[in-house]
Amino acid sequence: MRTYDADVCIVGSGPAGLGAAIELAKHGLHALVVDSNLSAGGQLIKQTHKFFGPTAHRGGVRGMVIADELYAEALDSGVEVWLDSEVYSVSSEMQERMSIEVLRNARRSNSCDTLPIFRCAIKAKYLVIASGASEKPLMFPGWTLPGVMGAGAVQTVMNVERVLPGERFLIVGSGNVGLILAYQLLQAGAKISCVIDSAPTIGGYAVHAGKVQRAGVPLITRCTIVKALGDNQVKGGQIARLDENCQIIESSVETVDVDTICIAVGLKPYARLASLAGCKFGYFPQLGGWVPLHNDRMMTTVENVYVAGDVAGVEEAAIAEDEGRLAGLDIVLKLRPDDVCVRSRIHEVQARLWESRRGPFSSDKHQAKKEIIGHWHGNVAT
Amino acid sequence: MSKVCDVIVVGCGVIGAAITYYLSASGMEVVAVEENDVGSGTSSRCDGNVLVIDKKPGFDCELALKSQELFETLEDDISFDVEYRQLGSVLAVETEAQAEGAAQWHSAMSRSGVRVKYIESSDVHAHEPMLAQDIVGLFECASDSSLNPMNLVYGYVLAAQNNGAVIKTRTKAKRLLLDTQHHIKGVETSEGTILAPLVVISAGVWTPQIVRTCGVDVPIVPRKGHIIVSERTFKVASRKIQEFGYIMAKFGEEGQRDVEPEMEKYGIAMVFEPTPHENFLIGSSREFAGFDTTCNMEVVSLMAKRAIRFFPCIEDVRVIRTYAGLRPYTQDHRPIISKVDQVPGLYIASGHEGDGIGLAPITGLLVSEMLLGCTPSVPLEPLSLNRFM
Amino acid sequence: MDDDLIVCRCEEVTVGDVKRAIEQGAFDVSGVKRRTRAGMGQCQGRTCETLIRGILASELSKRPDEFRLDTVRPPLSPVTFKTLAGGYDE
Repeated sequence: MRTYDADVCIVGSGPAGLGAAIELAKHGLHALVVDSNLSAGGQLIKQTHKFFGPTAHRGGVRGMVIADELYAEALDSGVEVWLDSEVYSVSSEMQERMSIEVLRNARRSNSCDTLPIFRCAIKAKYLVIASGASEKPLMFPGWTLPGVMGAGAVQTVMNVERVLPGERFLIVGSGNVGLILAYQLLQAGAKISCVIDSAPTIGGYAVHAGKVQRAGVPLITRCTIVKALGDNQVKGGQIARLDENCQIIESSVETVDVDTICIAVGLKPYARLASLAGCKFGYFPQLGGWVPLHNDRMMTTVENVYVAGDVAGVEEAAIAEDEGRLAGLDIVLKLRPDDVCVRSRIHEVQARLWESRRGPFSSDKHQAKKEIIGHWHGNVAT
Repeated sequence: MSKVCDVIVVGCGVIGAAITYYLSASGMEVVAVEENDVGSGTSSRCDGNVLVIDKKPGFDCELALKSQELFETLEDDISFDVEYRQLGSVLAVETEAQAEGAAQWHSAMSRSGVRVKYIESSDVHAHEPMLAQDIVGLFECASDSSLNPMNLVYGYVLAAQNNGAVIKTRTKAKRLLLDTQHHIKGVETSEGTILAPLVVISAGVWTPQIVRTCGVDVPIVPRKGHIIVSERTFKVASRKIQEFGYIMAKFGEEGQRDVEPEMEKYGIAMVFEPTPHENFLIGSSREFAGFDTTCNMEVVSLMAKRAIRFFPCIEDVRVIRTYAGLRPYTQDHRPIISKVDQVPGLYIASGHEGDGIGLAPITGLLVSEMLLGCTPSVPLEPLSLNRFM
Repeated sequence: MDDDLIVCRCEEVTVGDVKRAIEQGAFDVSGVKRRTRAGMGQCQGRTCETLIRGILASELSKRPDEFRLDTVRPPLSPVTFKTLAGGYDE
């Protein structure tokens, strides 16, 4: 099997992965990014809306443009990027190196006979896992019918494949993912019956909620999905209101005329690679569930393995990018311990990260991240 | 907190579960302690073999045959579906050189009472159409069978519990307790002490560390093996198929296989097992790697290669999981089912190295015969701990 | 929770199957998996593991964090036999 050497292997080319790679490459290190998708940019490539926030955090720029900018910056800085490359195993080798086994060209060789599919091993001293997050499931009668999809999946099909998976939509979950999806569906010409949430309040930002409501889509809180109707595919949805004890109010059960039910009940870290690499985890529901423990520089309980972005706790794109940069910089520092500039860059990024987590929406995540770091210290000490 | 019973069984994998069942069926009050969950050790990393075909002619065959007989009524005895399928098993003979050496093996097996039939090359593909074209012959043992190993564990456990046995999971045996006469008197566990005049250790690769707490050495060493799990796919074969060349190597006949050195280094031998769930398992590998059960992809790669050699049709079938388990190995490849002379009341039933599933019933029966003082169903000397002194 | 609901789509395991496994002694995801095959299919638990932990928590009256993630083994996504065997290696 062919082997390829790199200083650092980064798994995932979303903002976290590219952020790490850019810092590494700018400091003269060989950073190799691998991503199983056919384009770089992770979730950003689906985000057609303009991000908000300070200009320092790319406020006013569309997500998909940020993806292009980051990718261009990475390539300009000398980052090597392998797309259509799926990591299927990792192990540690001699001399503290990791071996990352990758399957290459799997998707493209399906449609192109002359493009060979093959495996190879990347040998790197450090591994940065930036594999993002996956959607949480919701179980209800009819949830396995064609037409019940994750909100993220609907967004991919619509914004990347440019296909509407249905005509009339019900969205379950009023967090930012559900709200942004609702607005993008409207822009694509779909009809939305309503956005429902079993919680008493809307989960996402008022800015997104406002856009959806002004477009005439009802946002109904204390409302749950009872079942998906249909024999072979979704033909409708049954929803109902909940009382203060979260019990269904029988008289409120109604049927909505939809052919697609989008489940937007939250994301959780997609950390299978971290698990295989031996990283220890902690349970933090505010960040999506089981999260790989890491210190304040993004290093996990396995010395040469870092995590960054949603895989280290579901937050936002700007935070993902900064966590990536932080991981990259800490690796640079390990190889250049006397570099004062790198040290001060690290402090700058850390300060920006903590600043991003200020504010009423993020205080629980801020607290959770502090606990993760505390658990990391506890774990490493034992 | 002490509890008194007739016998404590330490380790509730397939062997411990079988023993607990047989002892409880004989009327004894049994408490089984299991460090994790029943069958969560080696028993959960197996394929489901009940084989005679790969046993050494002689005593080993006799033991396996006796166990096979017990399987015939097992599902009724324990009222549990273990997915038992008696479809026979097959050894694929790869080369003419192997076919020549095979005649002697064939007679030795027949003398041991095993019904083995040889299928000539012209008929091979009528029996197993998906095998590689150059396979020269097949040995078939019609009485061999397959089952679901976890169902066997759960079946024995439920039947034992119905007989009144108590099974304590998440209970780790820490120390064997002896009285002033050096007789066993009980087991100290993570959940308290249990007292009993009889203790059986069926903890597989963990047996030595438990028995060491009373000063006795048990020569069982973990021998790591890997398994590859395929996705659900077309039918490749309907029964267990292994490569004959490896059986020869196992019994000391060198040079029977034309394979690269890495295959021999890891003891790679093709084992194909279909499951009732439309997928198949591929084994096997052998190495001494301590208690490590991480998957070594180099070994998996060699196993995949060897599997394709025999079944070229699986090239594009996908592997969805691999795992590794620890076989309890003894030098003569035979289990230890024995009293411990140095500690009256203490018994060992471990060391089944890859044959635990198939030998579970006979092991359970022999242990109950030993503890009750009945005439054993097979001679016990070849299984004695003393043979290593 | 309706016992007929499918939890593991790949192996068609129901809520009832999972509850029975817990009654019979399963106390973690691995134990449920070994008794029901939930999580042994094509997606290797990516969809159902969260749901199974939820059922465990509710049946055993415990908190979700008391149920650890199941062990992850390679390959992290399906790979053909030929690829693993090095049949496409350069």
